[in-house]
Amino acid sequence: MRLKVLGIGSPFGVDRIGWDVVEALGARHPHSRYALGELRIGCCDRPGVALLEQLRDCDEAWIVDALAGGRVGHLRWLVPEDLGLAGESFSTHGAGVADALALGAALNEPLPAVRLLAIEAGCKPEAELPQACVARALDELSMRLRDSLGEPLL
Amino acid sequence: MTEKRNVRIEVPVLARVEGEGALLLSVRDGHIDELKLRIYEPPRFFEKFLEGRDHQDVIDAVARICGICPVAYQMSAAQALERVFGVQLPVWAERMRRVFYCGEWLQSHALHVHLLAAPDFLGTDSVLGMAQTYPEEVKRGLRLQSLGNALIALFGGRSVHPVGVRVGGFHHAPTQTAVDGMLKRLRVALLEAEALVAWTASLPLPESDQDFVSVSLRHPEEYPLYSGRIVSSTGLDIDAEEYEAHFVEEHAPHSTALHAKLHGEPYLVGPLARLNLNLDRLPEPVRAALERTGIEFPSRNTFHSVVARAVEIHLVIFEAIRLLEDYALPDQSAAPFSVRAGNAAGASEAPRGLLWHRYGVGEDGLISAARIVPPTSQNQARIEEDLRLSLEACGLEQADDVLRLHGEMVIRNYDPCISCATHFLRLEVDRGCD
Repeated sequence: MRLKVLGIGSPFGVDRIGWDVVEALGARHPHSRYALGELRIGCCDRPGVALLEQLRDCDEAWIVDALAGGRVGHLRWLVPEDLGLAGESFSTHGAGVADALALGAALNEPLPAVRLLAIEAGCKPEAELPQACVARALDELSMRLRDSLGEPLL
Repeated sequence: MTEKRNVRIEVPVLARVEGEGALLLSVRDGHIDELKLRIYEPPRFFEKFLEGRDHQDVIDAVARICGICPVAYQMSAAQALERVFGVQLPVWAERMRRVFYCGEWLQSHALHVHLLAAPDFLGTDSVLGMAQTYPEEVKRGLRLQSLGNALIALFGGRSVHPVGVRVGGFHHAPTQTAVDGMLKRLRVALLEAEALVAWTASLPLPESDQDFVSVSLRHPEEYPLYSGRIVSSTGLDIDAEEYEAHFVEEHAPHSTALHAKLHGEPYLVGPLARLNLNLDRLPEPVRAALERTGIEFPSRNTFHSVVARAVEIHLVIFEAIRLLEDYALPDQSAAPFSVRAGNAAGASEAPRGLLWHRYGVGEDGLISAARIVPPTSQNQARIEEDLRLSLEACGLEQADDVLRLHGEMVIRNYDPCISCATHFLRLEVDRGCD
């Protein structure tokens, strides 16, 4: 299986936690080939509909992103259908993950299976999330990675 | 007795959606007696933030004003600061800044034409509906937008809030290999852009005939993008330094964005204004493609803005190829300069129109004053004027939903940028006695 893990966000406040988690994942898992497949890792700065480009050439994509609201640091695995409301917000500035995935589906683009690791950010988007949140998300990703790809080929 | 009917569109709250707007329309005795495009997003105070900062901070900070047109903010700021410091840009840097700017026009226009404007004209709710019927056109839009982003990243390091610009030029020059790769993509896209011009001209655009003043830059030789004098369809021809003597920004009680007037009157900036004033500056192949559409410019139909955007997509791809074909690595990617006190203005053409900046630099080398006039601020009064004329032409007896949709279409046609609110329009119709 070809797996891609993408951190999505911006440099601002809690919105950068997707980047922080995926960068930490890259440091912990520096290998690209595993017993059960290949791993690629990357980060995107508010990709909008360009997310579709990032989803090419992989069988499964895990998107790591901050989720407004909820309990700070609480992790939630979602599928695209959970996001809802896609397409109602399309603007030049505001296309989000749900919009991009909905557009890809409408265009019959060969999308990979997408799962989202959402990190609940509470209601203060300007705040920084504690490092413990990054560590918890990193542990979660590492565990799932072992389940999906097995051991690294050194 | 007054009967008041309200129609409200519920606004979903989604991450990374910037701003909200509202339209208030009051109709009495068959006439509009109140029409307000309300921008109620809080002011951002960017100009104040810039005071006391170093000049390079300005160039990096103003890129954060907009995620879609950061290059425009950097270009107008850099030009103003280079005037303050007396920097003469090397030919290489001036040419490459134009290429850099081409990338921004390309990505911004491609997104607007395909994702925002076209669904209106094709009778679908959004690009998702359009994708079912016109998938190849939507894919073309995504390809062109992606190419624009790549062109920005070539010089800016990244496409969102790029960091490549500095006073005097760029922090780095792209490699020949990277430029060659970009040229290949641009040549493929040139044919798509030509087809796009014909496609937009074939859209069922509403009829409209309005008398408005167009304002844009005008360059002695080129289609205005990076530099030029400020001109209008009423004969204005001034340097950016003279802007404040002719243009005045006013507070409107219903908007947190200022309304700008030229000699007291609303005016239009953006693609249609640029094209109306600079037809003779189009390169021959681009002008020929436009002429084949049969649409006559200058145009008084504001819905021809979508055609103008397509023409400008064709133009910037043509220009980027022309300017990159004889690319050579420079000895230096920026001119040396010394910081000195002073005050100067700069202007360039953002995708949505004229973007004017002024900066003062103190004896300590830090910013002492800043003023920024974005295109949407300049277009706001014109949008309200257009809404009034368009809704009256549409027929005020129409159902609320028809008026709301037509009003939204009129606003979207300007691609307003301050609040990015036009997809979340609330419409209140007060019809009085009827």
